[in-house]
Amino acid sequence: MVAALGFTALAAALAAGCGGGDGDTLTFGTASDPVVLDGALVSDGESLRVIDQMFETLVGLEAGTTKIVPELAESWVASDDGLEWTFTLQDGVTFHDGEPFNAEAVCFNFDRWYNFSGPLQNSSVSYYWQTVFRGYAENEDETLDPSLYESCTAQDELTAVIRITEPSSAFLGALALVNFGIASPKALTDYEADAGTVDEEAGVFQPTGTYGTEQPTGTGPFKFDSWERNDKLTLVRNDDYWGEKAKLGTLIFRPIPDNAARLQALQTGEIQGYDLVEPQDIETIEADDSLQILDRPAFNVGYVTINQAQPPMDNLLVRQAVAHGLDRQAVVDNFYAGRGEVAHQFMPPLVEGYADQVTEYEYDPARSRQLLQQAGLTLPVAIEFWYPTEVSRPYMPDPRRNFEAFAASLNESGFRVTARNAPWNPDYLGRQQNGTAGHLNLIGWTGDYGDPDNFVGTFFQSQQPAWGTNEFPNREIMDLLNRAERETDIAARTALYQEANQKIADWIPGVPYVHTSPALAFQANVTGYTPSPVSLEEFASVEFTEGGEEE
Amino acid sequence: MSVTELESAEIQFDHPSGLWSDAWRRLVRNPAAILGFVLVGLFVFTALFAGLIAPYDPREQNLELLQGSCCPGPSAEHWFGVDDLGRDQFSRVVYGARFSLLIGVVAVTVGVTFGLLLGAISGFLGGKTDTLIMRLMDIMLSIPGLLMAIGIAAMLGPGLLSIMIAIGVVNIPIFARLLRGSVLGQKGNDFVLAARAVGVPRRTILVSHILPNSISPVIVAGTLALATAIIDAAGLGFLGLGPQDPSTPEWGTMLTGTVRYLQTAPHLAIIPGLAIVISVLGFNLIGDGLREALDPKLRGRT
Repeated sequence: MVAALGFTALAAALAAGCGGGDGDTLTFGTASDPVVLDGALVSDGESLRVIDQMFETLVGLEAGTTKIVPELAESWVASDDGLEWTFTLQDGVTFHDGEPFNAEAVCFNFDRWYNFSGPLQNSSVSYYWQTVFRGYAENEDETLDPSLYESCTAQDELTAVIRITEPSSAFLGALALVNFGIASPKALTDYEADAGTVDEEAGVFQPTGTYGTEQPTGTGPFKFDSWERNDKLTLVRNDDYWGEKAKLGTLIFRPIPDNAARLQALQTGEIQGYDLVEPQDIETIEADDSLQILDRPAFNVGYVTINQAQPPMDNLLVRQAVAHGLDRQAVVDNFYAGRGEVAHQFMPPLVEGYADQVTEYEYDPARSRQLLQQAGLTLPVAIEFWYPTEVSRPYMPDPRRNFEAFAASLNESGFRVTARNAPWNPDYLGRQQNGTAGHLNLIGWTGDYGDPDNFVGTFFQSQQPAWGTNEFPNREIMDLLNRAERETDIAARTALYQEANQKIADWIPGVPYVHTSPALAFQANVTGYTPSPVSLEEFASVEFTEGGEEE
Repeated sequence: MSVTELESAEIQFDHPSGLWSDAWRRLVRNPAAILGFVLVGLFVFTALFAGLIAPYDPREQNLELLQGSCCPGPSAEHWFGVDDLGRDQFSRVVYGARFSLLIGVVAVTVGVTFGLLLGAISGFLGGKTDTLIMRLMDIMLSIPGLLMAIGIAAMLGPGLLSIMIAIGVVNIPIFARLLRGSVLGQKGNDFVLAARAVGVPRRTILVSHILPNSISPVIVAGTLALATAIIDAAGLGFLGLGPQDPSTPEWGTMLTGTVRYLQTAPHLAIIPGLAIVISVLGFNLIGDGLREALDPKLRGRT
């Protein structure tokens, strides 16, 4: 009891000493230090989290959703053929260095990305440009496709016209990615944003200029103050912000790689919030009155891959037996600390194109055995089932545990499961991707941006060895997805994706089983933080409630 | 009384007891050794009668018990709590004894058999054979034991059998060297010379005269090796080289996934850990007791 009191007193003293939680400064615990503060050159979440506070994109997402809303562009219109997009820009916006934001600045940024060369074309460095726009003005790697981007013209001060080479329904949504934040052309040039080399092994850009480390210059509600590598990164309020100004005066990001240490830092008040809470810590945090848990909407899917190249998985009856033989409800109810829901489709419900109704497969061991006999097999049917070790993902916090529960339910259902495992990276991922990970294996996916193409498109639009190369993806589903990607009419597109989802559920290339809500933890007096499905969260609206000073 | 009878009485007077009964008496007067026997007895009993002792099937999952988190601790129904899949931890530990005993015994048998063979040949023949075998053993000894076991197990592919072979192979040079030294010591004894003089074949000398007299250090080392084998088996199991089916109630395998739950369910790690400690301690205590009891320098001091 005495020890507990002493500890609380110490925690309070620490909190006061750090100046954290004083109502104007918030310290956020991150898993790692950002790589470089230039959205065009990074793809990791910890860099993007910081960049998102300083930069703005043409279009944004409504807080907590993947709905596209105006940001730096007040409005936009696409030509009938879907190739020409005209953006009308916000008036009266200035960059942090005092330079005016206008159509020329927008085009300067797009042309910069399009003309990337040398190390900047490395697929890890400009990953998102490649994902969305495929190629560059001059592709240095033959495997790159021709660019989707064609040109950008500043029609007048506040009108930018962007031309693309073929209709793409994913284009507008992708512009909301932090990676396409508009930076001050003067700062980019003066501080040599593009100068640097690439660490081939880690795929990380190492700048020789100072732009990405000392001079990131955007239009956002916070501006850069200082960065002590691996210690803390400080942003301050942009008092000249064109929209509603940030409530916090100072925002500090502090890297604390160890999960348990992050939890402790929150408990002692050294930080006021952190991301990537482990499921087993949630109970501890919820039991503490001075802390709170925030849920990020489910934007992922965990699934069991069925490899059709491995007989008898090429038989639809056997795949149905697998689907009926996995006790998904029990796994989701018991292993996800109440933060999972059973999945029936390969995309989370909040993504456009989620079908209202697909064939669902309830856990039914008797039905599974019957299906296997119907397929002419003698029970039990021996199968190999792989799971990864040394990894934790929101959709599978402990893969071994998911595996063991599934193996037990499959063994009930007429199968005889042989367990196989490998370390996640590179062994397991390699095997999973080239289709050498048994009849069944555990895997999953977290979305990058709010588009169905980022889920089912990634999985089924092209031939992939993971599903077995014999029959799948069957033409029908591939064609549907290709048509959907080119369709610019939203309603028609949604209908196509819904149809694809129904077909996929009938064809059972794999069995989706969970969508989870990853958790964030904050001090109880922090308000205004709206978790976003794609992890783009604004700190501008965050503040401490009354009495925030009292710890 | 005939002369023979008189002589034998005299001999009995000089040596009131044989080597073994002497050692036994010393052993039972050593409280630490008694404790060792009790612990090992408990361990072996549990292993043999696991099916009768364990209240549940060690592989039977009961996910509802988890209530969305991990994992309920000890209770009246589950004495040692349940693991992260709702399996009864007590039943798993009980069945785990079976695996540990099996691995320990098989591994040490492999080590002792090949070690004895190589050591005896090496010591008795001497010369080039001796040099060859012993340098080979030196090479094997120069690689750290657990590291070599990991290498062998990885080469054979993970599994129960490869663990046993791996640990057995690691033990070979230890026994070979031990026995060679012992054989060399015995070789010069008068009774060996006498046997040679009367024309007893070399093989018979080795098997009937030298080996029985060289065996006591091997028994001590064997008991201690059992303890090490149990630890090594758990280590290999923990590293994922053990039984590939993670539901196998092997103590090392049981420890593998528990790191994640250390803060919320420490009993998952503590209980299999304690089981390992208790069984290893038992063999160590017996081994030390035997060493003292069989030590020729201590003989006759009772």
